[in-house]
Amino acid sequence: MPPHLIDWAFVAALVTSAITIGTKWLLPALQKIGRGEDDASTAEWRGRVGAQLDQQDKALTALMEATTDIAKVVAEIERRGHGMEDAIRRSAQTSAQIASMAEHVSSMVPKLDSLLLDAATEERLRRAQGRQRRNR
Amino acid sequence: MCASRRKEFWRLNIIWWSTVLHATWGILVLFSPDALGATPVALLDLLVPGDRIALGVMFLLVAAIALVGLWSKPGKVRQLMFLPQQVFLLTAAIGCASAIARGQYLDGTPRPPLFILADQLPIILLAIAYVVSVLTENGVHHAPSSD
Repeated sequence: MPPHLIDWAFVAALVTSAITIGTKWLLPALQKIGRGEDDASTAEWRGRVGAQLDQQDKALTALMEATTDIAKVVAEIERRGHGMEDAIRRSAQTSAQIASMAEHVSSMVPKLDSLLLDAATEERLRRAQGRQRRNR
Repeated sequence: MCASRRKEFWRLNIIWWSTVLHATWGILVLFSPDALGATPVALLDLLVPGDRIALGVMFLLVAAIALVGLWSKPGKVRQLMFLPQQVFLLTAAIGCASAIARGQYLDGTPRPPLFILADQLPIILLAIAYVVSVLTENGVHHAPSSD
């Protein structure tokens, strides 16, 4: 075993441990100091950013109001669209009814024709009989 | 388990297993003088030459302090509690490094340096990992069985 190995090994271990704990304790303290300096130097920057944020906030409020108006318009268009849809549906139903009525009427036309013919024939016979009666 | 908690878990496990190692060394040294020849123990034996009881008690004391530290509240006292074990572990690792460099175990057994490196590498790596763990641990309470 090398002479004094334990001495320098133990001292090296102590120094390493001291450095370890020193680093562990000093780093947060240094970070805190750095943060303090940062606070002082960025106060103005924060003020500017704050003003910009206020402006953006106003713009966003206006945008939201406009969005609300647009939503109202869209809702109105939608409501009217529904009304038009109902009207179109009713119109389609009425068209179907008209079509069926037209079909019905067209089916009645030949009957009406035959009835008119019968009536005309009967009228002609009645006139002829009246003429015969007068001649006698 | 999130990444930061997983890292903390590993850090505390390294400290935990180092504590187990020192407690085991302490028990072995108290139990028999044969354990004094082991390289990590042999160098520390020179702290209290010829008094293995004192060395065994020191090992156990160091482990006990670290164990108390593991269950202590976060703070500087807790961080200080890990240091005695770190000093012991680093001293043992330096003894191992010396043995590797000289090609001879501290009990005088000559072996090729790579042989001793392969044999003693876990102690050296554990010492490095321990230093990193002490440096970066956040002070979360240790619960090895729950994780």
